[in-house]
Amino acid sequence: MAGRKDGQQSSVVLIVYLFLMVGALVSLGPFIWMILTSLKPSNEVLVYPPRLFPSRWMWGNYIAAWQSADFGLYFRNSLVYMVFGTLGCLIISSLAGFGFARHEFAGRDLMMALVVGTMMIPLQVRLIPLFIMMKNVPFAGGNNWLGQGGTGLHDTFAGLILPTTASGFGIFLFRQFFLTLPRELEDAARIDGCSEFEIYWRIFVPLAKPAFAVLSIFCAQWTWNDFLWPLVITMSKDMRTVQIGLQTFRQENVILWEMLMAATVISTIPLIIIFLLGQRYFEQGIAFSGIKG
Amino acid sequence: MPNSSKHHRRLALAGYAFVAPGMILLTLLWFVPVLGALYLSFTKYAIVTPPQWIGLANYKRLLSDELFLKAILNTAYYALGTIPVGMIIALILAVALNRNLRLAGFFRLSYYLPVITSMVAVSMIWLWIYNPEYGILNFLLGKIGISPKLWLAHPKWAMPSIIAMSIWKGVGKNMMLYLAGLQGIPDQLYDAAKVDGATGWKTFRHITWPLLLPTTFFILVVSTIGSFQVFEQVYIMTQGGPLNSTTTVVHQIYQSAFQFFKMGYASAQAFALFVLIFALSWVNNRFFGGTVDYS
Amino acid sequence: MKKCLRSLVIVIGLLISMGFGVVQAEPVTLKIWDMMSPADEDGLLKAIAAFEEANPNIRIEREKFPFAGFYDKLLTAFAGNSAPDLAPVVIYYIPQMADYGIFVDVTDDVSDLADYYYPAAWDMGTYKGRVVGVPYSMDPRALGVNTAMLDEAGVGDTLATWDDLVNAAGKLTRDSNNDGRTDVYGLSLPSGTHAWVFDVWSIFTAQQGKRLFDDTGKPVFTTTEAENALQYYADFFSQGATTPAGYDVALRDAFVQEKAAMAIDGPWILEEMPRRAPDIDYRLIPIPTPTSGVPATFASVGVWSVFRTSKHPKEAAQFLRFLTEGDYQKDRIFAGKTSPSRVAYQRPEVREYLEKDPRHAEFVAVMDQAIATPKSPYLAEILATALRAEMEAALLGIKPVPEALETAQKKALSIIQ
Repeated sequence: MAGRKDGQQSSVVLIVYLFLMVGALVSLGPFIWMILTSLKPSNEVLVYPPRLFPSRWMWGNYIAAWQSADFGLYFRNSLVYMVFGTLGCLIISSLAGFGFARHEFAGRDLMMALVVGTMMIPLQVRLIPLFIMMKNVPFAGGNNWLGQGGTGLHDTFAGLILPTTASGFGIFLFRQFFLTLPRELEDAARIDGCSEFEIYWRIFVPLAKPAFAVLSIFCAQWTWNDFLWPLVITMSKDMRTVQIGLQTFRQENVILWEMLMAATVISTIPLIIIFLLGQRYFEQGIAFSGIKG
Repeated sequence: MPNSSKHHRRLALAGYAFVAPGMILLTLLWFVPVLGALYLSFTKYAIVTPPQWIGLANYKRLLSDELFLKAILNTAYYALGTIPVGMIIALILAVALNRNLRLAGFFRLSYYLPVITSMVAVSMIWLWIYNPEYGILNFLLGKIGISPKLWLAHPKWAMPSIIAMSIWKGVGKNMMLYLAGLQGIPDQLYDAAKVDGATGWKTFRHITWPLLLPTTFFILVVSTIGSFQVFEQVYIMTQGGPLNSTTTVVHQIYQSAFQFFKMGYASAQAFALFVLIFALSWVNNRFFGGTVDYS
Repeated sequence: MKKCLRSLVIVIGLLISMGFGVVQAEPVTLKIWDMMSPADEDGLLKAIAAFEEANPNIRIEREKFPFAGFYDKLLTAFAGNSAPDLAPVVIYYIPQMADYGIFVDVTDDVSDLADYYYPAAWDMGTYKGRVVGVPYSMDPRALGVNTAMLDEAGVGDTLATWDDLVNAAGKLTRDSNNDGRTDVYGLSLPSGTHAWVFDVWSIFTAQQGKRLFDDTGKPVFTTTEAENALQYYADFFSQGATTPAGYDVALRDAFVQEKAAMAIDGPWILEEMPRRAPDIDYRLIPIPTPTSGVPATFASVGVWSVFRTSKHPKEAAQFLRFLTEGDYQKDRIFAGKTSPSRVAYQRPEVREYLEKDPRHAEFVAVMDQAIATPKSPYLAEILATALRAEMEAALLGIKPVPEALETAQKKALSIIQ
């Protein structure tokens, strides 16, 4: 009996591998195409019949793309946006998610609905009111206490980063995740006399590693790929981000394909690194037994 | 035993304290601009000139806007096309990859890579893939004897083409969310089930699926909201055509605001969208919401 | 006593000269935002440097942005009262922004400069009789033809009339690898969602002496000429003589890959061919006209404008003059860009340059017959909501031309209400 089960087991695993491989190929295909395109000379980029490999490997495209704009500076700015935006988002979302999931207070459900509701208004119509608000922040950028006279948070990292830290998505995510954790944990802790913050910090945060990992990956990706808000809130060249730099290869009537692809590949690498770092948390299981307070 | 009402009050206060930073920031950075947009929806606002109050005129116009109605239908079509299929594939992938298979990390990266690649680059690559004359899709189909299709240039096939590309791009994200959810299910439950002699499917049905419901609910709500805001692919690949078959609600909003200089009308369109999404989320909540009991 | 008097005279003299502003004027900073491509940028940077040298009290701060999202950003900046003093404005944004009064009326400062420019270009910068912008770019369309392909098919001795073009396109369309499917086309015309569809239709209409918008900005889509033009355009598709809908991922793909022997294109072709297809020998000729029609083509024009929110409109207008009277256009031409400045093309060094670049010269030859974007503030909305789908339907053969244009006309009129 056992032997047959093992046989079935390994053939199932094989089929699973096969499907995963095919799927991975479909997923990776366009990206591989992008890399190959980035290494082609201009006259081989869009030809028919489709040409897989370049006739000459134009590694120089990468250097040219990097040097065509101040990408070093743009990377630094995008990195600042990403790191602080993600940190802020993680902290605020996990705190709020904990509050919503494990505490009862008047107006809780209404607030939660509003939180989810924030995701439903597209950026295009919030853009101008948000932009104007950022300009009129009191005491910022030369403003007086009424928020008049200066440029507020325009062209600052604070202005760039703040909207990301308040994320309905993040709060909702942590709330759902915390809901799945058993109540016995916190009940026991409360009986032991732990403060709410200790419960949050010592019990829920460590257990929520997958949620932290996932939200970090998403936040990092969202801030790194954000184009419209950085474009609008930054004024000077010193504040530009990677995505703004990428768009320089799309001119009004000419697209520099191989450069655009090369620059895109370069700019995707940091996100790949973050993903690889973050997804290590998906290889750990969670065991509840034997957790000491 | 702690005093009940004092205990509850203490918990309630703690609750307020925990949600305060988030709620304050959300209020300042989201609710206030949204209220600003609401105000604008009652005005005629060309951006370069100050807003002028016109009451309900924008909303009246909305009711007879055929193109906006088409956009809503297109968007609903897009949502129905991307959400169920995308979620099922994501769930299957997550279950398959939620174990220490060799190469699990490689697979996860492969599926997540489309998510992190910028939409601009992805759209341009897919424009090329879908090209009727020399795109790789028709090239491959030709090799197995299928005649070339117009894909993005055909009024009936343009939206399905965008749907297919969007599923490809988004499946990795939901897969990661499901993985996080699966990680939250304690191993003991699976061990206990094995001891009781449960098979794979039974385990899934009675343990995995119910405990994944909060995650499923989350993904469903977020995917609904996200799919109703589809914009970038349409803007880059088809500009709403052919024959308005791919214009979406946010595409209409963007055009009204930044191309026609009708920001007031765009705001009204956005609130119509909000009402629509809110109603859908409420429906979601009725079917999938609620918490799960571990016993 | 004499010394005292002398000092007094000097002091009074200084006071008088300060009062008359003979001494240095107050320093002024002008902010410029632009989205120029690299070829265009050089000329601008040189002009800025030269202007600052000639006007030591004026500093120019320039910020460069990508083209994508530029106008989204500019509009948002207006809303937040942080717009620049000057920026380039293109296509339908010009009449639209002009209609909302966001431009400074610079008629008094620059109206004498009209003769520097081709009429269509200068006209693009005027709105309701006032000058609101000075042209800086003009990109006319011509017919690019692949000489080798034309010679092979025995075509191209005369490509002067509509009939000539139809015949030539038919002869050039063929199945080059004998697999039963046409894969080489005579023409590559924009179709469907491409932004140039309207421009090409305007050319065919203008060649019959009519426009698609009248002088008051009202759409006129249902004239015989407009219908003939669209029918002529649609026939290329129904006869399979042009690349089918959706062919071009980016512009001029078919021409670059020799899948189309001819294409209507603008001066960007001069930039792209050496990069993407250096081996192709091609010529540029004026777009064929109908028998008993008039030569006409379309040119997209960009203008530099001063914004109403500027604190230094006079100095900004000075910059506009400088761009016209200085070397700016000459530098642009040397970088391979076509220019709206008739005067620049008459300069001896530019004439010399044109002799070495006959293709550029061909574009210049059609400047006089060019029409520009209609000056209707509703153009964007009409194009997107009334016209585009109807044109697509007509070109795809789904709707007959007269019906499509009737519908478009009705919808367009209701937008103007």
